[in-house]
Amino acid sequence: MKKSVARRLLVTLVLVTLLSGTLYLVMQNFRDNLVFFFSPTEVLDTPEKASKRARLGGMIKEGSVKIVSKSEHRLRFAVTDFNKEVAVEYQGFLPDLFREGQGLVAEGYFDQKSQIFMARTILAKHDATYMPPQVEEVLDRHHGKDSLAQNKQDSQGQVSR
Amino acid sequence: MIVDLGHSMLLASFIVAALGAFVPLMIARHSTLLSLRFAQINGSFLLFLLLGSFSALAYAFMTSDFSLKIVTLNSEVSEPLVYRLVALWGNHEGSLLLWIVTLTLYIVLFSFSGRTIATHRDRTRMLAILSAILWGFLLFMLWTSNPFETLKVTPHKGLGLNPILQDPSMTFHPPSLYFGYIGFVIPFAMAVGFLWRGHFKKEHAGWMRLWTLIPWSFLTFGVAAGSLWAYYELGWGGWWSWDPVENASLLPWLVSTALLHAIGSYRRTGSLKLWCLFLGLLTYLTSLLGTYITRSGIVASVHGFAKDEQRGLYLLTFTALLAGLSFLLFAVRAYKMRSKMPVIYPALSGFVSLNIYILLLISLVLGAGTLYPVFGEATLTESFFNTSINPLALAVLFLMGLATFVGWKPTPLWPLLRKRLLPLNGGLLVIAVLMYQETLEKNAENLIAVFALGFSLWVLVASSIALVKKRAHAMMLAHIGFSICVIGMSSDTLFKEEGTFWLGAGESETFAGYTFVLESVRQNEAPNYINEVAEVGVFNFKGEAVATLKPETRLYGTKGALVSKTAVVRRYWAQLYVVLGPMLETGQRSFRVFYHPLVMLIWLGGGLMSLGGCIAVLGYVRRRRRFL
Repeated sequence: MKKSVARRLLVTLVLVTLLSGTLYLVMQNFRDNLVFFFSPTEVLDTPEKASKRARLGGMIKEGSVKIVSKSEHRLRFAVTDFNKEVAVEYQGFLPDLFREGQGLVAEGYFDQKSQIFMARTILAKHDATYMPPQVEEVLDRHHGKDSLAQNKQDSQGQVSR
Repeated sequence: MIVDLGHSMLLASFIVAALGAFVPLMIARHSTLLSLRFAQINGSFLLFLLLGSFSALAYAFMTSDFSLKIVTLNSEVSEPLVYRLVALWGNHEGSLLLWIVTLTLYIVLFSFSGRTIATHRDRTRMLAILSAILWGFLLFMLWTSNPFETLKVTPHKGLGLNPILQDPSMTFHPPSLYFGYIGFVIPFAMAVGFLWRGHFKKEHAGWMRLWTLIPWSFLTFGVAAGSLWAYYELGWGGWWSWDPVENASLLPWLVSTALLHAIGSYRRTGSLKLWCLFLGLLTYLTSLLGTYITRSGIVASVHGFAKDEQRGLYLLTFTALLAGLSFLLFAVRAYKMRSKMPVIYPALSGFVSLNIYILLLISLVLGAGTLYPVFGEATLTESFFNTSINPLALAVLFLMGLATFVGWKPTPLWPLLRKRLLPLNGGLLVIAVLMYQETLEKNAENLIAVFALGFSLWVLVASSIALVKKRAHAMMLAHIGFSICVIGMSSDTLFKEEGTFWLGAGESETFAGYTFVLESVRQNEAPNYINEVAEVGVFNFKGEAVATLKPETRLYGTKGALVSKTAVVRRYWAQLYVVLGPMLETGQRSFRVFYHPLVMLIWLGGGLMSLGGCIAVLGYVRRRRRFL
């Protein structure tokens, strides 16, 4: 009887240690992987906050897409919330819906020296009529609903190439 | 006319389901046999009504009856018949009807099962609980999402099905997922029924195992098929992105897997009895939570249905109510029903209980990570899930390997391990070799993948030996499937290559030992979309043509939506994967290419796991008829 109690105690102790260890690691991991969402205005107002790891949401400005380096597949364009705009640099594949005048969410960091948002990934959305909710909110905040509706129509006109 | 009939049948089923929830319980006071018969007939009648209603809706979709709102919003005359039909479950309301029909089908099949296992009274109670749950869903449907809602003016044209859903997988992926997580309602009702009665014998557990295995097999297949679909349809080159909806399907899978293991242990040793009941409740509740996540649109997702607060609130209340009542019942009855058999640690029951703890921990992290964006301002990246959940899954894999060598009786671990360590050594060798690979990027995700690859090879060898030698074919097959799946996932994580090309006509690039030449880009027209198809020739290092890939981009007129169709070709043990991107100002097209080694093993493994479940179910049909 005594032996079995001791054994149970041991097993419980081991389990509790393992559990708390795991939870500690998960919480650490959680802190490291949180990404906050910024509008262009917010990025320029508080650049230090967006300089580690951030998501940027807004509209790709008409006529702003330029190729920086052909061999490296590097592009530069501007993302706007119709209040301020941020230059974005991106290297790699562009999703289908990457078009001027479309909503976009990019993940990366804001380089304070060059004042450029270095995008690591562009989050692809799969419906031309779909506006990422966060982008919609960002545009709303700075410009009211009407301009958004106007812009949506414009971009839809553009898609039928 | 037919549509009106369907609508009336739906309304009638609402009343019939309500009757089914309490009339049998009233009759049971006088005659338990009579009450059981009533519940059976009631269930069958419900199935008749709902199948009628479902057929009427299917008829409306096939004939493009645009007086119905959901037909107008989700279908279009020019689409092929099969997509007009599957549009039925390509939207919230229609898929909810499929959901309800599936639930009723499960109820009817279950109502004729377990003649010699459970008493009439127990079965009547379970059927009444099921009928009440069905009623709850019917109320939800008629209140917030009636598929038979009509439009005041009948339009001439429909808006068409969401282009991403216009894929052959749409015919079987959603139904197989539904047959998965809806079926977990049966173990839930069983657990409540047995707790109500206050007993749960080993043969009851066997019966519960059968009714967990059926949905588990469907769910496993559905999750694997969903991952395959995402891989070739969405064109981002991955097979799992920890999207909220993916997580919602994984959550009940994890808990039901834990349930199957708990039942195994209880039937053999008598331990973990309460775990069977608790996990029986929890499996269905997590599947309801998944429904809530998907259908309320609270978390932004690729698959999400439109955001609707009323629907979300109803589902949340419904889930909370079921959870509250069932856990209360559990709390009241659990102490009296507990098993006297201890869990033995250096034996299988100990491994199973550790496995349950880890699976629940994984579910907790997964659930919390999925729901976090609802409460916080920020989003969690994929790498949170990769680096939190994968190490825990690694522990499960390690236990799975060890458990192959241990029996139900207490076994001294070391002597046994020493004798059978050979395959583990092989696995460790693989780990050691990979650790010294210069080319491998050193990060947490790769480190986990290295260990996963080593352990899964070990599990594969050990389980295959066990399969050939002796017992538990179905279980060993599922374990083999799991290890094959992990081999696929980890080797793709470690050795995947990814590249971007900008190609004009006639230009070429070399990638992963192959040369890709853009031959032409052509425009075509189909009845319901226009597309651009690129022809990309692939040549090996000798300059021989090995394949022509045709990635395409489609523009669906009705919804103005662009969809890319990936081109995939198998080369030996790997897949080459090409996506066509937009036109650049230089006149070139951008392409994204992937080299995916062993990626097929992921879905092969998933299929084997599901097959293992099916074989176990067939075992009941062949040998243990009395459970049916």
